[in-house]
Amino acid sequence: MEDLLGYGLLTFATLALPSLGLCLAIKVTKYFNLTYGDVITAGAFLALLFNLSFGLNLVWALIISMALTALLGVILHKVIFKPLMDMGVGPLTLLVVSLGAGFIIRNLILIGWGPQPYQFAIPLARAKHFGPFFLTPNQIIIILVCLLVAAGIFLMLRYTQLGRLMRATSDNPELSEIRGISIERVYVYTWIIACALAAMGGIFMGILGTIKSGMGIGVLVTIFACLIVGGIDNPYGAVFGALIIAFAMEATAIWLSPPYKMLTAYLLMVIILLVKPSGLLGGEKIQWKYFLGFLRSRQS
Amino acid sequence: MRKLSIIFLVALFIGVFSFVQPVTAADPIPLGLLLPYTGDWAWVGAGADPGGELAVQEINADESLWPIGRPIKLYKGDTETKSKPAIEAARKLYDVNKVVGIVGPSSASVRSVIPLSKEAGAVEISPTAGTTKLDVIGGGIDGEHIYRTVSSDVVMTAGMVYYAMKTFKPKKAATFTADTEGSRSIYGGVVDACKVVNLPLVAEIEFPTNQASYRAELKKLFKKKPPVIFWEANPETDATIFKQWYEMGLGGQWIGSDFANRTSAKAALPASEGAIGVNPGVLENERTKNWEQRLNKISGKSGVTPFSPNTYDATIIFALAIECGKSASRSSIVNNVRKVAQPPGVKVYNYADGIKALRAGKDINYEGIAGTQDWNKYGDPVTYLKVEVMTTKDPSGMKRIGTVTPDDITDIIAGVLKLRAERAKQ
Repeated sequence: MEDLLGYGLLTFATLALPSLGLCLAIKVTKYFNLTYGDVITAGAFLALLFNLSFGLNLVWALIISMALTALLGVILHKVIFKPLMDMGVGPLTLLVVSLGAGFIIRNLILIGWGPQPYQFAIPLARAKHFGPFFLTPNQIIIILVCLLVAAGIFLMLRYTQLGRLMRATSDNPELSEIRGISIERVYVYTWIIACALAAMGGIFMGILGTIKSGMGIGVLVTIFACLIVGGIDNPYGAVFGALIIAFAMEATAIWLSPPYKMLTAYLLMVIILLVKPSGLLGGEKIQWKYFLGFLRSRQS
Repeated sequence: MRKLSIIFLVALFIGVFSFVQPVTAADPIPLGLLLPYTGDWAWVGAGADPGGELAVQEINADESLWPIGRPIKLYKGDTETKSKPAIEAARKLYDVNKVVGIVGPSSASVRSVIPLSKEAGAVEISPTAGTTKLDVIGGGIDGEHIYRTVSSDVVMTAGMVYYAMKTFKPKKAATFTADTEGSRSIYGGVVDACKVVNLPLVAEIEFPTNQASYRAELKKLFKKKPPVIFWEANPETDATIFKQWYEMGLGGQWIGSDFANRTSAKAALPASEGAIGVNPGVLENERTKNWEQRLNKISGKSGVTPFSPNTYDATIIFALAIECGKSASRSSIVNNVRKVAQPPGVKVYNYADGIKALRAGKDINYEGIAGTQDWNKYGDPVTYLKVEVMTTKDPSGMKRIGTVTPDDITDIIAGVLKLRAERAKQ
C-alpha cells in the first residue's frame, strides 16, 4: 500500500498538469488538439537545452522553458488554428491539422536531438522515508509543486477576471462576444496557460524518467483517458481523472502484471464512456458534445 | 505515312535498347543491406552499417580482385524496426534494385522477410538476428536460405549465465525483460541456461518498453533479493529503469545482452555504473585490432560498433560465394554460400586471400572477424562473446573486461538444446 501511494502520486504528478492544461484548451476552444503531446515534448527539450547546453539551473530552465513553450502555443494558435477557425472549418479538420502540426514539431525535435534519450543535469539521489512515502527529495518537490500549481489554476479560474472570462467564453462564446469580451484574447491566454502546464508536465516526466522525442505523443492517450474519466471540460475532473488513472495503473503494475497497466487506463476510459459519458465529475453528457461536433463536421 | 512508320520503328528500336541494357563486365553487383536504421532499434542499424561499408570498400579496392570481375554496390533498406516496412523495403530491394541477396535484417523483422527471399530464390544472411525463432529454420532447409553471422540468442544467453556463475557464483537470480520478440528470445534462453546450471530464478518480470515509471516492476523484481538480474530492454527504457533502480537503492548485479551497449550506457549512466553486457564481439588480437582501425575510419567512431563485425563477415561471404560459383545469379549464390564459409576448405582470414585461393582452384573456409562462421545445418554459427561493463570512467561508457569463447559455453548450449528438444517432443 505504501508503494502504491508513493508511485501513484508520482505518476499523478506527471499526468495532472498536462491533463489540466489540455482540459482548459478543449473547454475554451472546443476542439481536440493533438499537437498538445508534442508541445509537452517541446517543453521538456527546451528545458534540456537551457539546462544541458547553457548550463542553467533546472529551476531557471523550467521557467524559461514554460515561457517559450507558451509562446510556441500562441504561435501555433495564431499561425495555424486561428486562420482555420476564422475560415469556419469544423473540429474534425482542426483535429487532423493538429495531428500534422504535432508531427512537424516531433520531427524537428528528432532532427535536432536524435532518437536517443536524455537526462537533466541533476545529481542522482537515493530515496528516503518521508512519512508514508519512500521517495527522493526531488520527487517530493515535484508532487508538492504539482499540487500547488493545480490549486493555483483552480483559484485563478474561480477568483480572477481572466478565470471569469475563460469560463464565460467556454459556456457561451457568442454571448460573451456580444457582451464585449475579446474571444481571441481569451483563446491566447488559454493557450499560454495550457502550454506552460504542458511544459511543466514534460519537465516533470524528464526529471522522474528520461526525455525523448516521442515522450509527449506517448503520454497523450493516457492524458485523454484522464480527461474522459474525470470529465472532459471540468478542470477539477481532469485532475481527479489523472489521480484515478495514475493509481489504477500503478495498482495494476503492483498487484496484477506490469504489462497490463496501460490496458487498465484504456479499460477505465471505455467503461466511463459507456456508463457515465460525462465523466465522473462532468456535468451533463457534455463529452458527447465534442464527438457530436465531429459527426456534424463530417456530415457537413 | 511510310516515313512516319519508319521513324516510329527507329524510335521504338532505340527506346527498347536503351531500356534493355546488357550486363557489362564491370557493372556493379547489387547487394541489399536491410537494417533497422530508424525505430526502436536504430542503434542496431547505425552500429552494423559501417561493417557493410567497410567490406564493400575492401572488396572494391583492387579491381583485379573484384568477384567475377565486377565491383559490389550496396543498396540499403530501412526496416524501421517493424515487419511491414521491412517487407516493403525487401520487396524494393529484390524487385527494383534487383539485389542478388540481402545482408539483414534484425530479429524484429527477420521472419517477415524470409518468404520474400524464398520467393526471390535468394540468400539472406542476417548479421544481427539472434532470435531463437531462427534456431530450427533456415540453412537451405525447405528452400529457406536464411543464414546468420551472429549467434543465436541461445549462445548469448549461455554466455550471460556462464559469466554470472563464474564471476558472482549466485545462489539465485531473476529476469527483467521487455515484452518484445527480441527480449522474449533472451528471456527464454536465460531461463533454459539457468535450468542447465541449476540456478533458480526467484522473479521473472516482463514489462512494456518506454514507460515513464518502472518502480512497481522493480519493487516486484527485488522482493526476494536476487543478487543477479538478467535483463534486456532498449536504451530509452534502460535509462528510466536504472535511474529509478538507483533511487530506490535496490542493489544487485545487472547482466545484459547485446542491448547492454554503448548507446544504452550513454543513456543510462551514471545510474547504470557496473552493469554488465555479454554480447557478440571479436577476439582481442592483432588481426581484429587492424580491422578495428579500418572500421573506425569508416564509422568515424572509436571501438567496434555493435554488429559491425557480423555485417562485415556477411558481406564478404556474399562476395566469395559469387566468385566461387563464377556467377552473380541468386541461384548460384544459393549453391555456393555454404562452400566458402565451411570446413573442409583451406582457412582464409580476409577477402583477398579468399579470392586468390578460389582462383587457384582451392576450396575455402572463411574465418570471420566475428567468429569462424562455420554454420550448423540451420545456418547458425557460434561467435565470440565479449564482456563489457558500463562505466563513466571510459569515454565510450563501456569497458571490455573479458571474453567468452565458444569452448567456454559448449556444455551450457548442449544442455539448452537438449532441453528444447525434449520440450519439442512433448
